[in-house]
Amino acid sequence: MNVRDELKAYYDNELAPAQAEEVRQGLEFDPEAMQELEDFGRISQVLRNEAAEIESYGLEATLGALTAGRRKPDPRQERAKRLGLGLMGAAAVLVMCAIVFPIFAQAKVAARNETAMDMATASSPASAEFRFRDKAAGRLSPGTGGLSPRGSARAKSAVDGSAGPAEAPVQPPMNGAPISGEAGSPSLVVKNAELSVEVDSVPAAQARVESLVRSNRGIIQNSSRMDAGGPIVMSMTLRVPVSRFEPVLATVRKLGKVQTDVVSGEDVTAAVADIDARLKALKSEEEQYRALMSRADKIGEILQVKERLGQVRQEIESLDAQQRTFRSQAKMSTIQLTLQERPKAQPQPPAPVARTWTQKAWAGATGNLQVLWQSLGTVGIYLLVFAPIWLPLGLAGWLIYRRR
Amino acid sequence: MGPTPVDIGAIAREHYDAVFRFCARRVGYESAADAAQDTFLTAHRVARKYRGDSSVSTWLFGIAHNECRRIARSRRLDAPRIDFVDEHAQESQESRLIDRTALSDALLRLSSEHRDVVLLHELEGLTYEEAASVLDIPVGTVKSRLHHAFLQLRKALQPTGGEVK
Repeated sequence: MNVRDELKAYYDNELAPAQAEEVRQGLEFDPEAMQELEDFGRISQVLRNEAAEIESYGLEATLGALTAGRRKPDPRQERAKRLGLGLMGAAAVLVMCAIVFPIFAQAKVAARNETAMDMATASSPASAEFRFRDKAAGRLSPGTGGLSPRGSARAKSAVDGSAGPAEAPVQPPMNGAPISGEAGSPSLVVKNAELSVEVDSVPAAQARVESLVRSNRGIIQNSSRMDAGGPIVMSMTLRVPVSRFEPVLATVRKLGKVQTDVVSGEDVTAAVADIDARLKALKSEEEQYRALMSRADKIGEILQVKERLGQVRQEIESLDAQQRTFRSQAKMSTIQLTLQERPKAQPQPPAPVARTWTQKAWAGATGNLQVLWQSLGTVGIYLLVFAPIWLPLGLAGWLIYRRR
Repeated sequence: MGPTPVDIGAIAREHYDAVFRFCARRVGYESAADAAQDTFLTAHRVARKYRGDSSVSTWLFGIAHNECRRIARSRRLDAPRIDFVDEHAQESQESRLIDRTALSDALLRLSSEHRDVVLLHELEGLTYEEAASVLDIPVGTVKSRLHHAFLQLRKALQPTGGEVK
């Protein structure tokens, strides 16, 4: 036993009697150990007897806390706790925003993609008729041909082959113009049609149309052909007498599959009557000016009357031209015809194999898993990007809260 | 059979000062009341586990030791300085040789393990066995730590050798 290692225990009387005796004997022959023991004793005496007294406080608070069963809150610590919680709450809100916003944005993108897919599906040839019906129902955008609701209704009925109830009030008379109106006065109706027909051969159909127009005393006002390697498209403007409008139209429809069929009529009777009245008044005014000019004897008066007479004459000629145009339009109907070559038959994609419920569930689950991973990845990226904002807040809040 | 929940009030009245001093020497006077209160609240909560193997004060010091460590860690508290008064020194010629300021400085320089055993044994008056119970370490470790702590104190008080100053 090393005596020196046991000096403190010897001094504190913490050794067994045998050990203590051994140390005591060792000390007799080791003055340095004795000196060390004395030093230990002096230090120990100071520590035990001279440590500053400490006056306690807080017994009542402790007893109160024991009665209440919980620690009495310290206002300063409570404030710090609230601040910490507030900061952590703010950080949590930021995190939530970072999580919710990308999911919301992704949902919007998904919805947009779905719409785009729907549109892509709708543009396939197989759904052309459906698309047309959709348009005919009045949902055409302004840039898709300018079909009026009235014309759209007619187009639909033309394709369906039946006359809907809405068609009756707006259907113009097809027996020619002028015809008797409600008041028994002759009516002038300008009739137009817009047809798009899908045919097997555009040149053959074009020849038939030209022959048809000639035999009905009409003219082909203009025509254009587009052949860019794909299906040939031929646009023609036909002018046929009003009396031949319906038979020509019926024949053209039989050329192939009608894609678009819009017939419109505009009653210009009132406009023509107005022009007639204005012409009559202007002509009367012209006669009066002529009489005035014959009586005028001063140069100034003659010039004034002549100038006014010229204006009146100009107006008369303008109105006369309008009247002729209306009557011409009422006499000759216009048909805007588009002949489109039917696309060559394309190999159909293999029909989807009917799937069992397990296959559907598997496909759904894997799809959802992919969406989940994408969402988590998006959330992670947002959290990372917004970390300079929420991380210091959360960290500060946590530290303040932890200090209580 | 440990004290019933009713006893904890009496225990607090009897041992509060000792526990408060114990805490004040470990976390400082400012935080001592919190530590002491937490000590008695914890004691109240775990009173059923107390089997009477050690004295009540030792049991409470054990709890207080853990509470002080927790508070010191959470509040980042350094060990407080322990001052010594010279009044008693006049009674003992030998103790006059000790430089109190140097002793306070030397105590601060001790590691927390060495300092704990010195405080428990010298200032709180616990035996080696009781100190071992409070710190939950073997008695031999207490003896060893105490010996080394005193060697360091002695060395700090006699920088040039010879008797302590």
